[in-house]
Amino acid sequence: MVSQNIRHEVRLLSRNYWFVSLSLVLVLLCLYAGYNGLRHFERRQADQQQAIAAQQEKEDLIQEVALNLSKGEEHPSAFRLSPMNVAIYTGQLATMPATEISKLAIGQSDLYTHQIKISSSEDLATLSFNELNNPVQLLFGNFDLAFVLTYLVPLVIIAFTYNLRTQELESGRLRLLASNPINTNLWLLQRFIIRYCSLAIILTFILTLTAVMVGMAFSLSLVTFFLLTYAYLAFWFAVSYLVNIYGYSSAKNAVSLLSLWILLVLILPTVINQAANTVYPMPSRVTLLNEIRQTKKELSQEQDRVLDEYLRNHPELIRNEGQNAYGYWQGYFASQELMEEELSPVINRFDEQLTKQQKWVDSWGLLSPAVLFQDGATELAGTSSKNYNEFKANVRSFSLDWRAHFMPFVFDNTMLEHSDLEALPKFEYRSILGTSGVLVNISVLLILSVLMAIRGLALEGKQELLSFSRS
Amino acid sequence: MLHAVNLTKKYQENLALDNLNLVIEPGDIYCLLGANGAGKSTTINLFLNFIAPTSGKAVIDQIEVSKDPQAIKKLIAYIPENLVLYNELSGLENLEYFVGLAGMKYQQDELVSFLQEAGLQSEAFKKRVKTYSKGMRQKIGVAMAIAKRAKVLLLDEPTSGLDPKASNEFSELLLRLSQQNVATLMATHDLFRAKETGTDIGIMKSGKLVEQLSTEEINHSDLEKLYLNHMNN
Repeated sequence: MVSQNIRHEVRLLSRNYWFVSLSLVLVLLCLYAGYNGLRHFERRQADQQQAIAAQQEKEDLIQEVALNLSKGEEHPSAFRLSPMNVAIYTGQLATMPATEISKLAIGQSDLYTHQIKISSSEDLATLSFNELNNPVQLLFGNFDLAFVLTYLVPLVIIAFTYNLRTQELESGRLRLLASNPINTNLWLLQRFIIRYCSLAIILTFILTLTAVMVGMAFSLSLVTFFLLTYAYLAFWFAVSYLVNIYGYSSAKNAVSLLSLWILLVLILPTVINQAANTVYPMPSRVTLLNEIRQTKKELSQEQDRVLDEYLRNHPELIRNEGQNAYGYWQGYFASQELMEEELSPVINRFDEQLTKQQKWVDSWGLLSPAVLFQDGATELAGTSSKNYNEFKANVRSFSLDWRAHFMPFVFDNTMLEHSDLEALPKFEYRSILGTSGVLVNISVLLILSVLMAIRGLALEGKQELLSFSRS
Repeated sequence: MLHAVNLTKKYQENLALDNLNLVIEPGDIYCLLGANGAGKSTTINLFLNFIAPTSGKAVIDQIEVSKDPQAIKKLIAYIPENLVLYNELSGLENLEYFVGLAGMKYQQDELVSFLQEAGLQSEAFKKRVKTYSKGMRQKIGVAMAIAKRAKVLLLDEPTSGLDPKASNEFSELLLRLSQQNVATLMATHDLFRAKETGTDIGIMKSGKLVEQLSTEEINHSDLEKLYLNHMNN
């Protein structure tokens, strides 16, 4: 029966102008989405390159000054080697490089910044990541390949399969088919699998074409992206199969499947996000900013007391010259650290709520195949909220190291030398996120698909009886 | 070959078939006559296992239909009133597909010979079925029965809507299959065709088989009178 069905479906599909036309439309949409992804990737790369070039210019300048001074020459910009200047003005650039897959799944990369100037004048609470928000807000926004696959491909699947059984039932052909020694639900499943394979082949072709067009190299991530796509397709085919088994009318099947699409792709992700906000509300950002300003103001008014208190906690920084030797910057650095200590409960509350929200979305996202697919795709692309949280943690940690590195210079009131520049900490984004999360998403989608297929097969006989007695 | 033993089908309170008993031997063409809703199609659906009997049993070749439907479906061929085929496929492709579902494999020339045997014109073999007349479609159904080497033919008003020539051709095909010992159960409204083609006639009314007779026992006009008599009472 399998070979018969394969030949049969290939004949039917190749003579179905609707299928051929829609496949062509899908090709065009994917290519356009790929082009959008590429454009976004290039823009991000260009922005990053521009920032890196500007940073390099600053670093070259202090290198030049340090070299001149080390040779005993004078330089009009010698002040640039002061620790405050290097720590604050020169700073460091933290960048989050774009991955190749981000051409396919822009994710939240248009919401977050990928390069941050790390400077000791920035307090960690106000570092701008745009993160103090629901992590999956505006999750589905760009017309990239992930958007086409998440939203449009399920509609294509529905269009090609919603009446695969009911068409036979309504025309009376199912009676003719069922007069043969076949298990009709298995026969139907085979037709679904053949159509699934047809669409998977078409999408593989389209994705490969898009990948080549946007200049992507073959990689494990790309293969995982393909697997995720196949699993997502399998889910929608399985849903349609089950609806076909239960359904008695093509019109009702179409309405049911579209309703499920609306529920699973549109409503459920929104409800999960909203519920995350309701269950774990974020503290007010205005309150946070007010608290920061208030604390800053209080600490700056009490600079001397603050410095005294700070030095009591950091006796290793006390110099023999006496307190009068400490100037504005020492007070500033000291107040910054104290401010962070005082604000840490507020900032931690944000982080905790954000983490809880993310966990909530991760857990309940299992209910929506769209969230599973989108999360998996953006995780592979390095554009998921998890990636940005990781980048943020990297930046925060590096900021502390950066400031700590300059403390001895500030309190010694010594200028940096050429050798000190070589020893400056360098930021490097290290991602420890693997593909295990994506593999879980793939497994969940496949398990759900198989369970639905088994359920459909188990209804053989009972459903046949009902359907025929109604015809 | 075909036995209905106290076969009864109820839909809630509606008795669609009431204690039907009949026997159809190989080579017999048994024509079930009756008004709409008399129980003719229900009888055929029970033999096809499309519905389950409320009581009694339908037996084909000593196998109870509801107990082993897959075995039964290897023995039977079914031709409904409107044989709906795949319009985008040719007659030959449709035959190949349906015969394949029955588990039979044939070469192209063998499939062609079945279509020829069923009386389909050779120029139609590779034309898409959407261009076929109803008579041509019914011939594909007969070709399926031939290819399937069916022992039993279940026909649900197969000549309804056919022109007299096509209807006559269809009857000739049935007679030819009958000579090959195929047992046929045919539900029909066509008294003339039943008398001409059938070996036996059963008249049904309100789910009951009210009359059984051999076609040799009765002429056309007496059959019509008998039928109308049952319908009017």
